[in-house]
Amino acid sequence: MDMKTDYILQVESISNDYEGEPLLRNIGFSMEQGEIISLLGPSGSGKTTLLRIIAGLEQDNEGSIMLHGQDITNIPPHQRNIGMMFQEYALFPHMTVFQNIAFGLEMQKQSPEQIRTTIESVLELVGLRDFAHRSVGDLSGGERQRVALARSLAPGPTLLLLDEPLGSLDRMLRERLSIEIRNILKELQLSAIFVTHDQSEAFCMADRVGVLHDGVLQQLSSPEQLYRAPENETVARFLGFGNFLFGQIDATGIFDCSETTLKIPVGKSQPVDTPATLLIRPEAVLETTSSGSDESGFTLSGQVKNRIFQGNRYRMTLVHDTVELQFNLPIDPAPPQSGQTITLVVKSSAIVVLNNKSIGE
Amino acid sequence: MKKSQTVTRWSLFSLPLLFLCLFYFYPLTKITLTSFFYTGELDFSKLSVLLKGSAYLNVIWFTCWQALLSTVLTLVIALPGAWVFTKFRFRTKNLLLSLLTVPFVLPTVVTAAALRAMLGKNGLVNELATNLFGLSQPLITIDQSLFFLLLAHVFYNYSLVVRIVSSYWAGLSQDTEEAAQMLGATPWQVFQRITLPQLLPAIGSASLLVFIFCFTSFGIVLILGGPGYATIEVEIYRQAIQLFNLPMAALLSLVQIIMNFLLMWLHSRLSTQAKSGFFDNPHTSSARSPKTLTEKSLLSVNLFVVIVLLATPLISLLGRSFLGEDGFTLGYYLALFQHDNDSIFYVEPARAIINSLGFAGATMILALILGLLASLFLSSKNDSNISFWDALIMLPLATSAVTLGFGYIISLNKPPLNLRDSLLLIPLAHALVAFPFVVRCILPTLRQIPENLKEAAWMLGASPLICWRRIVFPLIRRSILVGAVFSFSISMGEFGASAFVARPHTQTMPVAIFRFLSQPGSLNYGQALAMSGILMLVTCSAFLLINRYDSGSVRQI
Repeated sequence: MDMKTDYILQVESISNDYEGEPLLRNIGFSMEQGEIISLLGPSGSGKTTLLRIIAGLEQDNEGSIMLHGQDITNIPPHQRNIGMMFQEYALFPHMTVFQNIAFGLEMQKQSPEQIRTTIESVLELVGLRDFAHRSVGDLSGGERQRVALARSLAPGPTLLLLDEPLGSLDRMLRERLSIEIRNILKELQLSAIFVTHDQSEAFCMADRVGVLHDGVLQQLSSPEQLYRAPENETVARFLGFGNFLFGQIDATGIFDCSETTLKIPVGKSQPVDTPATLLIRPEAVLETTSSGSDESGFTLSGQVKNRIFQGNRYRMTLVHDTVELQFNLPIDPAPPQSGQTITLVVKSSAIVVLNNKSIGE
Repeated sequence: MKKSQTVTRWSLFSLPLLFLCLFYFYPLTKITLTSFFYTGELDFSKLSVLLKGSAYLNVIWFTCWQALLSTVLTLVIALPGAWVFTKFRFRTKNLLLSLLTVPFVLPTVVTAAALRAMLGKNGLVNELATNLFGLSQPLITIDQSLFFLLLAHVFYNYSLVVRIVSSYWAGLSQDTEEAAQMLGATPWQVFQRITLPQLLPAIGSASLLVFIFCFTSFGIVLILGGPGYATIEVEIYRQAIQLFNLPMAALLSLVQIIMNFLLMWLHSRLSTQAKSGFFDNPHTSSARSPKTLTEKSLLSVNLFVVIVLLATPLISLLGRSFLGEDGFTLGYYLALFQHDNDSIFYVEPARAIINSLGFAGATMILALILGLLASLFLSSKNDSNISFWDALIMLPLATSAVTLGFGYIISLNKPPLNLRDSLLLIPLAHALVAFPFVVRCILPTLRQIPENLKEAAWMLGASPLICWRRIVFPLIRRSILVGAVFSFSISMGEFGASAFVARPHTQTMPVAIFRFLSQPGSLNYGQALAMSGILMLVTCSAFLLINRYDSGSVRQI
């Protein structure tokens, strides 16, 4: 069986320049029917450009795009049957909600009855049942967002692209709508790619998250995988991790930190005697006399430099020799005040050996 | 608001208000009185003459349809131009964009002279044709024809339409076009269903402006149309100056004033729609290089039109002004500065140049003072009647220069306000037209200044006056400069009102050009062109100055 036909979208070696500067470098990935992928990256990382290339709105690039196993690289956007939701929604200001949504259906030459039925059902889907004849100027931000979603869903696109779909909404609304959009997409079994710079949004909506940095797709994996095992320092830093140690791994599987006397067991499956970067994720617990040391854990003692209460956890800054490390501790039992020396237990799963170089450097 | 603040505001506004009463409402009232009470009692005889005599109705009818025809022609030629200037990037774009501003500042008299210098009986084209092919008849005979008149109107309004439509177009969010594409619309469908409907307010507003301009066309019709054609404006001039039929001139002025108010009212309603930048998208430098052959050829055709339409008349004007019977000559320019006191009606051309410059300077100062005071008053954020006062200030813009001029000669000619021979009369008339422009330059910038900026200055210990001098004034300085240059240029080129109120010793350059053009002989013709050349240089360099400053003035506050 040819595996390729299973993929709804295959992007192969996309590169593109903007005024001589490379913007995207050799991007390639495939996605399955019904999958939701999020492209996560800081502004300027090229994520929106990648989305526009898939849409066909940008065409000055190398590489190829296959939709349903069919090469669409040279097909103009209006013949691709890809839906797109724009950042500022791009609702047609001279049309009502109904006319906006009808537009794509009219382009497909659907009959007026068909159009009316489809619009009723998509408005129902996005929770705007009685809004058909409103003018788009009278809508609130959240309502505009839903109309834009309805408009891009109505023609039944093969793939839906969303450019910062929640970017211009306030936080509360964003959290609610991101779950709502995911539910709608899953209900319709619709494959979608959306671009965001907000990690929590990406984690909440996507099946897989792709981290774009400097025009390079650094890592594309499930949110759990991304969090548990970031590929390299760039990804790890972008996810907000800060505990990095630099050193070497010896033949017995012990990481020898070059800045301190820390020796951390990392297992024997790692390359030996080359410079290595270690990430220690911030989850840890206080060592208690009753529990003793966890068999799969690693104990680390140091002086508390800072203790911040964050509601559901404590944020601790620990000083060991010259390195400072950050940890999140449960609120029970309350950790000691700053100045005191404590010992923490870090699970071995929270210790990640990173690929030394990030891709594209 | 504090009471003392209210008092200050109103005392600031009292000067512009007084000015409007004396030099706008008073002459207008006088026009109305002259129409119906010329003999001392209510008299509708002129009205019945107007309504019964087909001659006057014909004038009104002609005014309407020539304006309509000019508008349609301009749209047909200018809309493709707007598309090209919005969508494409090309090498000469900036140069051509500044060429597009030239007609804005070109006095109507100069335009008329320039078109004559190109296509008239003694124009460059005919001279060349005669010399090259030895024709005994001029090749082109469009002098005093409707075609000439329409051509001049298209010349004038082409850039107006291109600039209004393309700036609005560039501000339209490109997202909606892309969204339509993603929903399956072909490029043509995108234009027809998405772009065009969104452009309609701008096109409507631009067309109405063109219509208003052609409807009140005076200098062009007077000079290029000849005795066969008369708009209402020209007819007012003839009735008043040539036939001395003041009541009829007044009645026609009244008709013109009412029509103008209606048109301007319509325009202000349309333009509020055109301005409401819905879903504003600031980052829309969407222009790109033309790609396909069709795009390239469309671009070339449009650029060709721009150059032929806008540049050749100006080049012809300059060229013809140096072309005597025996080739190159400076004679026409020199003649402007030679004394020739044989004729008692003779006015030194040099005197007209000095007059114009002096009047323009005085106009500038008057308009700036009035405009600044009015803007300060209008920039207040907590006065619900602001839009009423704003509209009141704009009224002079809705009144044609000819009716103003006519109003002046029948109202300011005897006590209590006898300014008939005063040097101030022309600057007053010009300032009335110019100061609403100054308000339009300054007010938007003034309104953009956030209240908290001034509050911050107060909290830092600045008195209101210091706050004004150190915070507000520096922020609006560029707009003031633009307003100053604007009012200067308006005064330099103004013809309609000056044609009425100028006395021999207060003649201006446009009036002198008109006189030269209406007298026979190649020396007169040449001097008209030479003076037009000088006037063109003055107004164009003023505008280059604006462009220079304006491009840097878009500072985000």
